[in-house]
Amino acid sequence: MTEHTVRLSVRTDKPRMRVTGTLCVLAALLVVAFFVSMNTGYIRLSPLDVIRTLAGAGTGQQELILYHFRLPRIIMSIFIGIGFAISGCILQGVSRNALADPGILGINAGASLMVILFTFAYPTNEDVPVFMVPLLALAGGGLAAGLTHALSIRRHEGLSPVRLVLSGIAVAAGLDAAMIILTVKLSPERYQYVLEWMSGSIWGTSWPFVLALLPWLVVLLPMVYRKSNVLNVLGLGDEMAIGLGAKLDRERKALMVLAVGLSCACVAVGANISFAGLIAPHIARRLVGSNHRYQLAAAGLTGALLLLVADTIGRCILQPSEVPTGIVVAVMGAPYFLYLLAKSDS
Amino acid sequence: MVAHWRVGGRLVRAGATCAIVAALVTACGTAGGNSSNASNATGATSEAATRTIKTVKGDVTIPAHPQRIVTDYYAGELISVGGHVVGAAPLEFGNPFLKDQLKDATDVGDPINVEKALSLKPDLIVTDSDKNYDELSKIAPTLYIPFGTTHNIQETVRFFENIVGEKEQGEQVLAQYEKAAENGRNALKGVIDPKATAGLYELTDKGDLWVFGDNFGRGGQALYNALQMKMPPKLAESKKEYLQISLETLPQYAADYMFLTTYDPQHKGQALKDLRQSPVWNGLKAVKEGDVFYNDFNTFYPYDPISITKQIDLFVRMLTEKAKEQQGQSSGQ
Repeated sequence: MTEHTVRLSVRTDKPRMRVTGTLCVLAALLVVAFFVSMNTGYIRLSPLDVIRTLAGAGTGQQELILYHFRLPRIIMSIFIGIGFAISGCILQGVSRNALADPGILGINAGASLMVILFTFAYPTNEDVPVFMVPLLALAGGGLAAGLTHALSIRRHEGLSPVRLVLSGIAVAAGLDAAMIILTVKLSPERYQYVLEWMSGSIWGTSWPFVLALLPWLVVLLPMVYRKSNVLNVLGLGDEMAIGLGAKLDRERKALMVLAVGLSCACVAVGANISFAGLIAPHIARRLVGSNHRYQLAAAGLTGALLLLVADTIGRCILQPSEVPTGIVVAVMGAPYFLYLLAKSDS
Repeated sequence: MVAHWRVGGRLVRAGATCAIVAALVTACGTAGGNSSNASNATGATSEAATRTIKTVKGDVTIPAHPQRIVTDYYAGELISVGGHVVGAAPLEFGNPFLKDQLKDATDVGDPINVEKALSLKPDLIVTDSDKNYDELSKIAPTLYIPFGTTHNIQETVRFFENIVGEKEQGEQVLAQYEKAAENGRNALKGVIDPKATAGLYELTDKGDLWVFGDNFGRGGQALYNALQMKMPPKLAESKKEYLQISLETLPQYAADYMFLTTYDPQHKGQALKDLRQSPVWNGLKAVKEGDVFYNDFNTFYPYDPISITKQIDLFVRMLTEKAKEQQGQSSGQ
């Protein structure tokens, strides 16, 4: 198996020039998507209007639309796209499982459960302090990930990736069950709130939420990038990684903490779209190969692009109503997975 | 898609309360230059220019006589007291009693699409959801009024006439309501046993069953406040405005007269068919005696003063016609 992995990783490494080119194309696409998204909305603004307003020469109405309605949401989409994608990329590397995503550690289920418990604590919607929700989601996700981790550790053997995935599934299933029991007790309007939250609506669409997420990315992303070589070594299999001098357990734990931190922060302020964390690293691997130095960057860009496009579509397809971004991501991502499946058969 | 639950006026999700101040932008701009806008601009010095309304989000200063109101689910309430509604949520356009009044209004989506709201240049926004509150309040003064803020039609009228600034209209609406209520009660004298119970039920396309109290739409105000019918005792005891019940517990919540609406946006019809074939349903006294009424969702869902007043007549007509029919049958035998 180890040999196979090595061969696989060698084979899928792409020439450096091409990789750089691919990353540039992704970045360019993101910029294009950014401007398209800025132009998209009920009130038509021409690209020229957008540029003029960004330069500070727009009308009051144009400024309101761009700076307070569209821009925070666009930035938020990009941020959580990056967060989920990088988090998924780490988890796929650590668990050596291409189907891992941030949901696999029970993060999303834990965060959702916390949010539901929280809604029970407040009899009316008006009393709820808004900024508590992200913090609680964070705590819930962290607890669930900790539980998964504790369950998958066995003495003398340390952390096994397979057990990690399996106990993650078990924890998520348990938390989901608890959640369903609780939702039965919720009043319809509260249930609606939880349901919407779970289906992946981006809800922190104002500047304070964007600013709340920013430090997480600024701190965690460079730390992840510094570990990209560790991820590469982990991908070679346990024996090989130990042989190459990696402190296996410690590195794994550190990487998982980074992944949990990233996706919890995203779930908490943004949306519950862990599917983006499954699909973006996949696409990235196809584009630039499995060297994590490039894959991480490509995954981040792909995730940002994916979420931005999905959110823009969700915003305009059923105007004046909106489709939750998570649903658009799923609709866009599912065919891609079917395509992968069809290809791997031949 | 989720309209049924919409009634709850949902969401914890207050947008960020934070420091970004609603300072920016008078979205209504200089459009029209009508008197209220103009006087609004001169500030609070003149007594008639603005009024302050207390809301759960704090005091909000609104024009004394708003001319362009955007709302989600308060179109009927605002219109009933003379409000000029220019935008409302999609479901409001299905309300048969508001067809005429809303024919020039625009569907602003649910939750309110902020850009669409902005394009309507409102001078007041009234919403029962706090989802977009911060964005909306940058467009125009925004009143967040959670569902269930008022408890009966009288409170509702008083509350909204204060927002719209038309006191005489409110008096008129309540007078009309009282008259319809009295006429209704008189018409039912001798037709309905005063001790008889009546219940409001709803079946969803997923097969869920609900029973409603006097202040959750479905004609509750018309049936219980205006016509003074009695609730099923178990529902009255629970003091709940709505209750989900299983088919097995339905007999405990049954009434002598049962009014059933079906929430079935795709018109599948399956849930109602299943219910009507179930032995529990067919074992109910009201079903056996033919005192069950299958009603239109859009007609009975609304809970604004205009709709409530019209619903009184509908209930009275249903009950008297059924009584006549049954009399005809028994005398024919």
